[in-house]
Amino acid sequence: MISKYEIYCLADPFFYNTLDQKRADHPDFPIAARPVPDGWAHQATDT
Amino acid sequence: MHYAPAGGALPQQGWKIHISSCMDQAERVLAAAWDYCVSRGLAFKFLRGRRVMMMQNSKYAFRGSSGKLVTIYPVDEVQLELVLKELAETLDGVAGPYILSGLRYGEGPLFVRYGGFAERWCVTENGERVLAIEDADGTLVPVLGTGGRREAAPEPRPAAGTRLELSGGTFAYGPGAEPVIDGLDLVVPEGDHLAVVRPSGIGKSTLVAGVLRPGAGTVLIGGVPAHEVGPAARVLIPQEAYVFHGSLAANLTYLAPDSPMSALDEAVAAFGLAALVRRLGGYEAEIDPAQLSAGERQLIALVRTSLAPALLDRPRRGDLPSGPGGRGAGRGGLSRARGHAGRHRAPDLVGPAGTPRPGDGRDQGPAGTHDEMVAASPLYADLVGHWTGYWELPPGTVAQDADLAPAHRPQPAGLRGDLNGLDA
Repeated sequence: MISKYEIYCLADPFFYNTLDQKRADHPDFPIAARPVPDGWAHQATDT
Repeated sequence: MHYAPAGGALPQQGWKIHISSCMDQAERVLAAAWDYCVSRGLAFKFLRGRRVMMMQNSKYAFRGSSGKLVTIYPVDEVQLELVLKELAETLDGVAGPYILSGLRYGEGPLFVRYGGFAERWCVTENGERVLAIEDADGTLVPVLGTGGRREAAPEPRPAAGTRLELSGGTFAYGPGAEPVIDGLDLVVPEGDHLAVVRPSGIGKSTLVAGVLRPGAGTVLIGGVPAHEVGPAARVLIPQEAYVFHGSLAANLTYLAPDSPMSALDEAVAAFGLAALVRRLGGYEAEIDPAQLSAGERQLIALVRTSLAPALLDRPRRGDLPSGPGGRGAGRGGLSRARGHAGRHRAPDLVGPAGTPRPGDGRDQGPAGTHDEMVAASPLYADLVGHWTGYWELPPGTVAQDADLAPAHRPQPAGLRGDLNGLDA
């Protein structure tokens, strides 16, 4: 498989899209919605 | 999703802890990891959703990422040991896939691995750019498990001719597996060819794969080990031949871009492709692979390959042209195409099946020319009869698959070391 190719299949197996556009179809684990603890840094990623 | 105490500093490299989990326990694992890491100020990251988790563990995903649901970054070895001990208790009973790049801690879902926290790179002796960590002297060295230790590919060696010679060729799917091909001795002289005809599942494609790099024994093409010969000297045409969007000429001359037009015309005529060329609108016509039948695609690949020596896997039944070349091609499951002198002479390329020369008289199943094979092997006659309807066989001599003697049935576990099941 092409390196990181799978990333482009996350949202849709046929068309490139970011998962951000498809959150309703592919929701995060509920824990990802927890507020970032005070004094913590957070970086969201596609995966 | 990365989380870390703001302003905290992590070393450039160190021990990482990975937590593996199956889908049904993922949320429990994440909640436990979040609470543990946040309360102790440990940097961590996790996969954000089920879709991502499925992807990372899918069949064709990068195996190095598989199984890793959570990654935790302890700052030193003391913290590493404590975290492992405490999390092992918290996560007791969690099951997950084995993380291949890590070392398992006890019997649970925790794995450790020493690696870079920051992404750093170095260049190997082979000129490859690979992920790196510092060694004890502070020098950047490749991370274990990346391409850093790959051997350099040997320089391709020119083959002296196209004589194919197998001696003691053995192939198994794994070190512990029983060989599916065992001790095969075979010579296909230069300019000759060989067809292997057997029912589906018997190991014909395996033979093709094993021809390149056997587990034991030697395979020589023109006196040179097959895997060391330049790729141009051997070509595989799979059952589903590859034709790309582009001009017909580009497809036909892909392996030999400098072919003169006369050679192209000759090959097209020999394989009965002229009508297709006209229908598509000439050599410069752009072709759409989806508009071609599987047989037409294979014919295009066949002409392409006739400009270079070839291995041919599974000609398509029925769709081949009616000329002598097409008939011949239709008979062969595996055909060693001609190189050099005979290169553009299609009737030679795909003429009646040549006779293999068993090396030591070992029983290798029936072998012979096409006509000899029709007489000697009911199974062969059956197969080629179904294939084209061309050979008239008297009623009663055509065995159906279900009627085959046990020794001639395809055996799921391979050929069991004897070659009675392989008509070579």
